[in-house]
Amino acid sequence: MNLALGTAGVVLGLVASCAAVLTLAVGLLRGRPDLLRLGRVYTWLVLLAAVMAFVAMERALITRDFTVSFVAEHGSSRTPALFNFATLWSALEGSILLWVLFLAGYTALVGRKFRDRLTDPLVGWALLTMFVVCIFFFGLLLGPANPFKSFLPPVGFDGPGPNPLLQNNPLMAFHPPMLYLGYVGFTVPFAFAIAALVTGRVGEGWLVETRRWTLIAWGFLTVGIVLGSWWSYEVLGWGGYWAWDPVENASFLPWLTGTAYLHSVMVQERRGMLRVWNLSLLCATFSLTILGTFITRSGVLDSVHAFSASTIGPAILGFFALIVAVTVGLIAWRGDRLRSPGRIDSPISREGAFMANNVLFAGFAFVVLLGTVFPLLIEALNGKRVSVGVPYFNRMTMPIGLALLFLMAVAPVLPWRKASGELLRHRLLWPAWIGAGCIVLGVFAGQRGFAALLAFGLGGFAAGSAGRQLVLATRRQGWRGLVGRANGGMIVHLGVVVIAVAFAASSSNVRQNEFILKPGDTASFAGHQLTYVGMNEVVDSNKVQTQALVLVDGSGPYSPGISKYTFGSSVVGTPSVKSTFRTDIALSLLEVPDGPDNPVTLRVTIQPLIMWLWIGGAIMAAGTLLAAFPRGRRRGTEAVSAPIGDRKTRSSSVKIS
Amino acid sequence: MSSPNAGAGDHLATTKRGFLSRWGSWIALAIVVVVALAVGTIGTTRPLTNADRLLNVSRTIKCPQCSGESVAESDAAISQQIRIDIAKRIEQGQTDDQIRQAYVDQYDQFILLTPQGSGVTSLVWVLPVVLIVLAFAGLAVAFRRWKVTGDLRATEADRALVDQALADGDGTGVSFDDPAGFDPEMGSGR
Amino acid sequence: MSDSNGDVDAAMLEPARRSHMARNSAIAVGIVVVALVVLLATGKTNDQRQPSAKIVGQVVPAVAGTTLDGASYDIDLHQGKWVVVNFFASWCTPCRVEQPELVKFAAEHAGSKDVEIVSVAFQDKDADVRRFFATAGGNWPVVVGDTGSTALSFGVTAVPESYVVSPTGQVVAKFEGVTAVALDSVIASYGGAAASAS
Repeated sequence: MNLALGTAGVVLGLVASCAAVLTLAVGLLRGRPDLLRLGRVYTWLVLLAAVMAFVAMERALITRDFTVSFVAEHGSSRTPALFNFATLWSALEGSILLWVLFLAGYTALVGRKFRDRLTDPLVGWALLTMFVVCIFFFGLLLGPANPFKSFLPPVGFDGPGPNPLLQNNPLMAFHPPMLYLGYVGFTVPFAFAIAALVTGRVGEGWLVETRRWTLIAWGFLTVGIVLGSWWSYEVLGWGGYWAWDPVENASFLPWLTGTAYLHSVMVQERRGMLRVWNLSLLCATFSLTILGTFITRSGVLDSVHAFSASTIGPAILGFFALIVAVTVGLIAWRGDRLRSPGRIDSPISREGAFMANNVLFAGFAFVVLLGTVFPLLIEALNGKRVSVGVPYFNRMTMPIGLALLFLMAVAPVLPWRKASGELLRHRLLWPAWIGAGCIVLGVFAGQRGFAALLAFGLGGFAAGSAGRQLVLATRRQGWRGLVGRANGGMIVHLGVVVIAVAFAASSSNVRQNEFILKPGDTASFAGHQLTYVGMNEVVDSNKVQTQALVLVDGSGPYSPGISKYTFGSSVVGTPSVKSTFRTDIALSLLEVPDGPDNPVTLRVTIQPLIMWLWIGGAIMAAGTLLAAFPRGRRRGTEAVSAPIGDRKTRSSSVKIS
Repeated sequence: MSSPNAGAGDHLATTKRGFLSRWGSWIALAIVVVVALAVGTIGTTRPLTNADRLLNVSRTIKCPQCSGESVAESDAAISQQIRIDIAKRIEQGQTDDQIRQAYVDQYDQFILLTPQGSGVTSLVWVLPVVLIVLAFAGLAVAFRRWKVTGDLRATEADRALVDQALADGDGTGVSFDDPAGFDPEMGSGR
Repeated sequence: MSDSNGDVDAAMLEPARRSHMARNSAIAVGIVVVALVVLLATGKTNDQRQPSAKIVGQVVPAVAGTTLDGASYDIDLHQGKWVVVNFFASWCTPCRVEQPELVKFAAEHAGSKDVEIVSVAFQDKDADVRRFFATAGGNWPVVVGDTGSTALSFGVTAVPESYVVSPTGQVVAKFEGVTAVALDSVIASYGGAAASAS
């Protein structure tokens, strides 16, 4: 039943998407608005299909229906209930199913939001693009990533359950959905970008109108990345939260270009410039999400986070190549005719700051991409193996990060068009003093090191600048001064500053050591006392966990352990972390002791301010919500000029852009 | 006490006062920042213990068996072994570079997490820097070109055009891409 | 400066020649992405990659220590013979899988004095090693104890790994998981040793 329902859903989705593309294409090329209106019906069909498949699979997972191959390979009667639901996205085929669900949802939302303008060719092309993407992903579900293959379970069969590393932590249930909501969300602005390029209508407010969609997708992606980082930190046990791992970089690349877009589009709104550049940023963001999907699933780049290798790689790479080919083709064909003849008056202006911002984010993305694929490049060129790891990325991205902090401080006070030195001097004085104060505070708190202190100072500077904007806005508008694009943006900046300071502090003050402790022993390290109390064994439905009970500074006990999963006999370490606002102390047990009286080997990693990373992420999420808060009903595509005489005539305005 | 040349002296005095009142706070701020940074950078730091040195070196050596983790982070058997070996070498008095070179001799270049720059491998360091510098240079050129051709001072022809338009009473609408009104201080806030 | 009759400043006109910046940058980006796609399409995954073998061709590092039986072992005393140095651990499943091959290889060359095996236990406990050999078989020196630096000097990345050392003391081959046939072919390709007639 589940198999039938699921397969039917996938087939329906594929057929509906194909039919939709055909219908819309004919409607657009032949100018048949009745066909264009059918687009909305197809979005409902595709959504129904995706929901069918999703429900079928989840039902199979929860009821442990081992006749479905995916459940037989990844489900288990021993997995706890919450993790069974999340097992869907713990493996490749299910993750594509989740992607399809979100994609269908976004497509239906687009159909609903633009239901009054379905006959507009631009909306038609956007929907068509989204349906093409649907065809690809539904096709994957029927082909290389088919989760609904049938399986004949022998009597008494029980599945292995998901990968043990993915059963350890409830964050597993939240990180992938958030991440995918972000990735898939970028399909919408991409579709509108393609539509704008095809119809040549880049000068109207379409990109502005879809900006909220981009902001929400970006917000989900931000939350997804922060959650993933937190999850790594809790699970891997050596205090690392960002390892510049290829899969992490793959999620970071679209975030970088997306952030560049969110800023650069303001120049387009204000001055009508950079239209083609912004379109390219949107297309790049979407392409990078597909590239990221490839990297995570192809096995070409080595990663702790990758799905197990499969045959899906070439299909995704092919789709990536197709998208880039279409984008490059469209821009090469029409880009120059669509460019706006604007100019920027002075580099010391908000436009100038956003231009510098574009360069820095593009450079950042280039560094991350180059570092990630460089080993492949060298291997292809001369067969040697090189590694590009954390030290490279930290060294190369640090100056860019510091420059971005500086821009974050200066840009919000810069007016459009041109700024005078006096204005800057006046507006930046207090933020600059806050920055200086942060450096002094840091020195007094014991922080050493030029780069970290500079990061503190620039962070304080940026925070002061953002705070100044918020204070001015709330003075003028009360609580509404915290809401809306500019103010929400300032709150997001505050979140970024918190993360930057926490990153600088924690990565420059790591203390790590290993201790061999007998029961009752106390080790003293970096000002903290660690007492090994004894052993403990916890037996679960699917694992046996041997824990070492440790008191940290008298409080606890914290229980780092080693879990042995009953199926497959895989052995996984489960660290334990004591988190306070000041410091995090991460404990991991390196080896299972022979007996309760034997000594244990504990590894201790101490880092300051880790908790502020997650708090900063929450601030960014809150800021994004506030920035997306609607502020009035006017659409970006409406004409604004005071009409001549008759208020009813809309299109009689002359545009200069 | 006024200077003999009252006019010129007053002007000079005002400029000096103006300069200080304009830049005074900033100069004080700069001094504070420089002093604090100096103290923070070259002030007495905690001397590196062996454990610190072990951490620093192990963070630059790749775990040979893992997917990109360094030996500082990985729990693999070989990583634990390498950590023990590095600790031993530190006690013997080897420098960080000597230790890294010993590992390259045993394992080949890939064991180091920072690509050593010689030949094609140096591209990974050079290329991003070059590209960013070029991009900023391109921006500078664009700004210069825009400045040469654009000038916001109104010419007589502009004034005449405006007078005529006002006289005609014809309002041609002007719109940019953003429909909302804008606040020169903060942007549209929308 | 003051123009009359609405003469427009020439600099304000659009340049007659249209710039092709968008087209050119798009094509440049396209070329880079094509290169990237080719790179990603032809990249080798980890299992397709050859293990790094810097030690092959070098003089064999020191292999010395105490064996399970309490005797001392030093590879330098075995110059003039082919020696297979096998790094293993009792907790390692592929090691258990390859042990029969080593036993077979040892049996083939039981009579000759020119071919020997020595196992080096990597991060293991004596009791477990004893049990490993008791169940899987094998009757040759097993170096135990602090063998970490020995493994590192060979460039061992994981267990099992086996190194074939020629009579002149040179490491000529490295295997990750070994078969008797492979070992024999290596020895044969280097001029061989007399196999025992049994």
